[in-house]
Amino acid sequence: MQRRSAGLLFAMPWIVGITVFSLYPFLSSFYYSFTNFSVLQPPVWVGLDNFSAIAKDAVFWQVLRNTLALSVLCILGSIVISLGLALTMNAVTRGQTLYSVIFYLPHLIPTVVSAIVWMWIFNAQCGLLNGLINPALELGNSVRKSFNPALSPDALWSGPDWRSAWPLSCLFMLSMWGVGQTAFIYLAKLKDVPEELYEAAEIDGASMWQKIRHVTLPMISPIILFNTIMGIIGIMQMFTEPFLIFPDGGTDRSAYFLPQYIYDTAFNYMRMGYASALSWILFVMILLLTALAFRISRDRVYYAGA
Amino acid sequence: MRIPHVVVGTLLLFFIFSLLFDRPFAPAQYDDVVNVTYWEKWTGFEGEAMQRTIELFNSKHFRNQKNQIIHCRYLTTTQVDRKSLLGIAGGNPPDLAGFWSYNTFSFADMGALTPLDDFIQRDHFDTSKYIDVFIQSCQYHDKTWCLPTTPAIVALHWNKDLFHASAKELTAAGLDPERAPRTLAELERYAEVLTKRDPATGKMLQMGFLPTEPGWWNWAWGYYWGGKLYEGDDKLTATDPKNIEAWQWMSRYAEKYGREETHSWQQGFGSFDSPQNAFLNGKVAMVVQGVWMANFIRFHNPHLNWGCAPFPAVHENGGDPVGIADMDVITIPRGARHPDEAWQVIKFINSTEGMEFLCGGRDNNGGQGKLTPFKTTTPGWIEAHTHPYLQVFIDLAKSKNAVGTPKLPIWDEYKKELHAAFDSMWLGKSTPEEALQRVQDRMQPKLDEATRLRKQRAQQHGGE
Repeated sequence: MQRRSAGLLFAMPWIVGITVFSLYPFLSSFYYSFTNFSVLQPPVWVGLDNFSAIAKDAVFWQVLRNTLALSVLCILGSIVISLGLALTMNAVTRGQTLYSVIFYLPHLIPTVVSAIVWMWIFNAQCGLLNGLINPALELGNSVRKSFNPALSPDALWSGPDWRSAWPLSCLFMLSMWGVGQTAFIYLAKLKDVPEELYEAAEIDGASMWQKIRHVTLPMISPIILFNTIMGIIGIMQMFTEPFLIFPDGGTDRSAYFLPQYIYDTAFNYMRMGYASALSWILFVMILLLTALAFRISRDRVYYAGA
Repeated sequence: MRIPHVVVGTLLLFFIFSLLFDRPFAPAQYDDVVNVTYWEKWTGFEGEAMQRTIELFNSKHFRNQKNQIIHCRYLTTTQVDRKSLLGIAGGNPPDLAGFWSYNTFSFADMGALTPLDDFIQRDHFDTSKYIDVFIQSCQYHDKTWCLPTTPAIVALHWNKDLFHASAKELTAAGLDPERAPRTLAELERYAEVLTKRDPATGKMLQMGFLPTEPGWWNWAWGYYWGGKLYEGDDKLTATDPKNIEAWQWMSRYAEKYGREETHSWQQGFGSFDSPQNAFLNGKVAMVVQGVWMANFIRFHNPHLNWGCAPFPAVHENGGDPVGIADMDVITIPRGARHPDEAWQVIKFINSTEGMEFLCGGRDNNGGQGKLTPFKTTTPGWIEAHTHPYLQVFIDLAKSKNAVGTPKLPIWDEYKKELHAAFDSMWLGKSTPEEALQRVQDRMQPKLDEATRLRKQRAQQHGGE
């Protein structure tokens, strides 16, 4: 008993912290979502008014579409790219440590720093991305000009204005940049797959792809599920990167997402009740998507030894 | 599940401690001195100018009614509006807060500010000395909620060097290279001559005029066409035919010079406060900018040969020029501990001495280098000012077509929506009519809701 009390006492700073700074705001935001609350005036109970207003709010539907599109893009991309990276690293026998360092490094760069660096990479005029693409486009232009000397300057190809033309792709590239950490989790699990299974498959005459499909993927499936759920939670709450790269929500709000809308509503427009309702919608969405991931994976995830 | 006693006990202890110490922090006060706290937004030379103004106030040892010396403590802080609001909500606001004028209306609606009318009446403070557009922007629903610190107004800035470099072409086109355009038709012709492309690649090198540089007043173009953004305090008029006309002009302009191309070209511009600013490095020959621009020209390209003129408005029949006015304001937050003393500071800043010191440009940027909000200035003040075209801005502010910040509690949101719609229109994703209609449809319900809440609060507070 004394040991238990001592343990709890040691855990108290955390318990106090989570109760005061997370649990209390979390529960109170539920109450505020049914009120009109501007911080300065006492909250006024309005029932479901906030939620019905949200249902009619065109900006909400636009940001919801953007948020879902970005989530699907990034979650699928993250699984494919990080898994591909992990499989490649697992197959490489020499210099694995060097590759590991290279792929993990981007994860160590603070989000704000990498967002600002990427902002410049995407710059239409002097960005690195267009710097790489433009020589190829110039080559294409000169070929086109040789066929059609009267080609007007307007018709010439040049690198796009990434941030206004391809906002979701910008954020996709930015999130894939930090995919090294997820790849590492896959790599750790890949190392865990028993060699005997591969040997048995080889004896049965399995090809490379068949080994991946029928041995590797089932064996690492719990990690795929874990990374998918972490991805859903992370991407749907992505705030810093879009906030920095698209301070005004991008051209015609093409890069305006639910977390930014919640932030603006709460702290710029001082509508805490409405923002709380939006936050709860985001929470329920993440919850449902996570439940969906569990449901879909129920018969597809193999827990060895379970 | 039973929660262990030690957890309940500690949480309870924490709760009791919070209650015991839940009182505002008050800086030490001495019997003969009263400290007034003042939070402001400015940094750099503008912050220093305000700091010096406060030092001037402190040096005068003004006294309150109890004969104590009033000492103002000046603090520069980022996001001053949000921090002050949280301070007000927590019962620990500063005595004075420097906001943007657009904050005033939503903050007043939320009951975050102390009206200044009682002080004004008690001290017979003369509000007729202000230029109308500035004092009107301080008044909302029959009360005065703030007073100006520094006013701002925007005008067309033109690069005389670029005009001279294209003097022959301008003259050939029947335009005078020695002056700025006076009509919109002229502006278009000047812009056409002053726009230069690389003859080999066709790439843009220089533009005569680019409405989206810097793009801070994209919401305001309608005013130059005689449009308006709202009527009374409960009706938005984004789809006013004059606004549509303005946006149609903009859309044609974007189409002419390349919607995507101009948008992408603009990304190569340096930041506003740098020598790579598109106006300072000669990429754009004419820009709409505020009275502060002269300071930045002096800092980053002192040899630039430039001029200033009102942006041409549509009504060419001798109408007064349109001036888009804005300003920084000073307020007394609700719950301030020393409102009387805070008022003394406001009164000093809004005296001729305080204001001319703060806005002046003497002694190599001693002040903020702007105009004052007053109808008259001390003889010689304008002549000694570092801004060579200050009179242009003063005239714009005094024009009967000067427009202040829209008095709407949802202005911040409305402005954001207008900017998003303008982008959409500029890039050809929607027509001017569609873009403005969407703004109207999205924002009117929000204003209705804000109005309903304001009325509800007024009823609760006995028809205040």
